[in-house]
Amino acid sequence: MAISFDGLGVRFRSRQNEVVALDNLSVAVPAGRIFGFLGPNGAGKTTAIHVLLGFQQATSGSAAVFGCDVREPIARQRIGYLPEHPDVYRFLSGREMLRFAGKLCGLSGSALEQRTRAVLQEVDLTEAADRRIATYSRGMRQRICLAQALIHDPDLLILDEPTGGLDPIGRLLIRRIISDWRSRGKTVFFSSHELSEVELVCDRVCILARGRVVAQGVPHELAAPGERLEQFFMRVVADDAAASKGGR
Amino acid sequence: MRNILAVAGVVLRCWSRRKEGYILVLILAAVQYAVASMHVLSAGGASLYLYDVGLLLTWFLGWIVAIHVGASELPGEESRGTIFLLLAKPLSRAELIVGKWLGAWATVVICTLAFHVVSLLSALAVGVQPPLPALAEMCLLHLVSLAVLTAMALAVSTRLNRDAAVSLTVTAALAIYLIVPKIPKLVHYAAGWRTGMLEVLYYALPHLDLFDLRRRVLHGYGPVSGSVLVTLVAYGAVWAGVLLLIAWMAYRRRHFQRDRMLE
Repeated sequence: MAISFDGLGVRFRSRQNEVVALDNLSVAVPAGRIFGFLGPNGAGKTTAIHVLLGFQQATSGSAAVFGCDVREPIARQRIGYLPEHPDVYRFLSGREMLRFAGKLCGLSGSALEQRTRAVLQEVDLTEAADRRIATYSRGMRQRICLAQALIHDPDLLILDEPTGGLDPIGRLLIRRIISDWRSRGKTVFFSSHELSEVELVCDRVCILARGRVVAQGVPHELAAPGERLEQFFMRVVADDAAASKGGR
Repeated sequence: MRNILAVAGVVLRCWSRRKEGYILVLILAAVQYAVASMHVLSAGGASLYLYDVGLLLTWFLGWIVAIHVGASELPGEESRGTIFLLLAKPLSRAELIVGKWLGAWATVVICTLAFHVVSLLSALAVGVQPPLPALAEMCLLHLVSLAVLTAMALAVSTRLNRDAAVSLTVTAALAIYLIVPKIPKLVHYAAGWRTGMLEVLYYALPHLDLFDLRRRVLHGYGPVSGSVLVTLVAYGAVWAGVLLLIAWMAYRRRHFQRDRMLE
């Protein structure tokens, strides 16, 4: 398995109450697949990714990437990560940013230069490569962040809302990169609100609501005949909200 | 080591492209120019005193840069959200801490050397000829003290935002610089457990005053012996190491939540 969440639970304590961010989340992502991680705002998607990458601690259960605990730095060698709302070092140029990311991933010399050129071309930033990132548009920043995730040719790409802030051309670029990744047998795990994008590229999806899995499977098998993934998503999330109110 | 140097290189490159350091050098040059002008206005006997003012400014501007840079790095990563990019790479938190410190200290060294050059040129302009061996020792120990301060600011910033870390480090550094050397005198006025507590503080806190050789330069006392110099450098290195260890211990299990960091 590329990713496995096993009974993952995350709870936050505030002064008045306890917030359950993730409740017994169990998901397995096979290697070589494009996996969509869906859910309304506050469903726990980013929290699950943060626990997976070791940014946050789980209250219960465990998460692993290729069977390894990602808190070990060496295990992160196989992962490329694009965070939600990414930002970068504005005083660096795009090329310097990628060289830095590449060095951290163990690249050097001609291999680093070659990968930097290739990735800049892949995200269509070759012409802006030597400009300071401070002068980049929001979409360009998103793409340079994606480029730093791709620099070491990882086996697993984790994308948190990758199309947020991108124009249609940028979205098409992301879709093309994901398809390219699939054709090379790599794994892509991405969370998104763009259900039409998910429907187009994903082999499997998992829908979260209030920190729990409410549906999981192949997109066209989950939805009823003639039903779009978006309609299915709205239905299961509404059912879950109704069940939650009924349970109170 | 590769990762440490990569992180340090980015810190140095980013600060070299910011305006703060250049502005401070210009401010110091302007103040020193004013000093030289006072000499022109037949205040010649005051030139040594005015050089003293220049050295004092150089000393504390170095502190300001060290604390500002040291306390800005980790909170800056968190407020930008770039900490997620870094920690998703095969980079340990110990490497991140040491890399940040090294980059911050390298920035501080370059800035402080520029301050000393401006200060020396101003001294020469008003006819003061500081003894070069003592001046070199003073610069070296100043840089060592800044290594300690940078590590202190970095350690404090592992758990606080930038502004709070700067305020706390400035307060702590001034208290240490001004009060710790006076503790032996204070012991005479204390009684009971307070005496023991003051003695513990005297030995447990760094003695930043030991790195201050400005008086030797100003009054021409000559350089300190090599063994004393090596001991002081080692003392500073040990303190910087201890503070980096504290920083790593505070940071290694730190958890990050994007929403909380943006608040």
